[in-house]
Amino acid sequence: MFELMQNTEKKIGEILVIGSSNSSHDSFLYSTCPRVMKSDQDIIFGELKIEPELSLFLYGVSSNGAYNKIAWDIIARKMLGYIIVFDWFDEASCDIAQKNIDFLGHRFEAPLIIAADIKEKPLPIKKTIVDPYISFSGKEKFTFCNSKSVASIKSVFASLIDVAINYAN
Amino acid sequence: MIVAVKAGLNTSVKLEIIKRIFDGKLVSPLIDDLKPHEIMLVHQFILEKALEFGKAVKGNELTQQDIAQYLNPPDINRYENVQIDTTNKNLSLAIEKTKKQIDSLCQIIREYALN
Repeated sequence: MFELMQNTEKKIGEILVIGSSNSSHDSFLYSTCPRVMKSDQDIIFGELKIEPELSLFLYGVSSNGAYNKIAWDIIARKMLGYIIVFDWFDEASCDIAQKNIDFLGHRFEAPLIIAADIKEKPLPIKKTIVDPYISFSGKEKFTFCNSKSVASIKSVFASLIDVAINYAN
Repeated sequence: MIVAVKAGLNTSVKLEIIKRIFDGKLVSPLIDDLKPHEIMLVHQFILEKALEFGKAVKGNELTQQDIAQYLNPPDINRYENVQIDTTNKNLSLAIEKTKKQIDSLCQIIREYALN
């Protein structure tokens, strides 16, 4: 009974990571969560425990424009925000990211970070311009990231939480 | 392509603009098919970024003149002095001027962001 009460009082925040290719969004979960599970619908899931009563559930989805196959409203009911990742140097990846932005932007009011993955290549612009992000609106930001770097990925999550806190206030 | 929503310019269009600027491509071709109010939203977004990036690079040394020197005023001698512009000549001139300003502002952004 006590355990059941504990479970019901557990606070959960969900973050959705949407990639244009499998590798980019996978690395966001594998580098932050101790354990990652994969569903048969190509959705990956990881739990990041902040405290015993507070967890972040991270969902990784590679949409590739196949929107109808994913039950977005089911996997993102308690969403703190979402991250759209794409390959900065790949036009097709950018096109898919734009479609994802249009599609999800009309469904979710949650904060969004658009993360342009440059992998290990040099930042194409001065760091001061994009530190920590370029603002598109109060709840929508753009930044660059390196999906090969854990520190860079954590910085994207930190940006999302920062935006979510500011947006909530 | 959906360009504008009720709240303003679509986020996907903002991404396209930023990508074009940082890739060194012209933004003005993007707006060829837009309605005048949508062009103004693009202009507003780019002006905001020019000011933000200028502030990030130059700090308090950024002046109004830093941006304004690149923005040519409209050539009013070319405008028709009529109350009802039946040929839309004045509208075309305004759009032409706005497109030039957009490319000038993008150039400023590139200079702040890259140099």
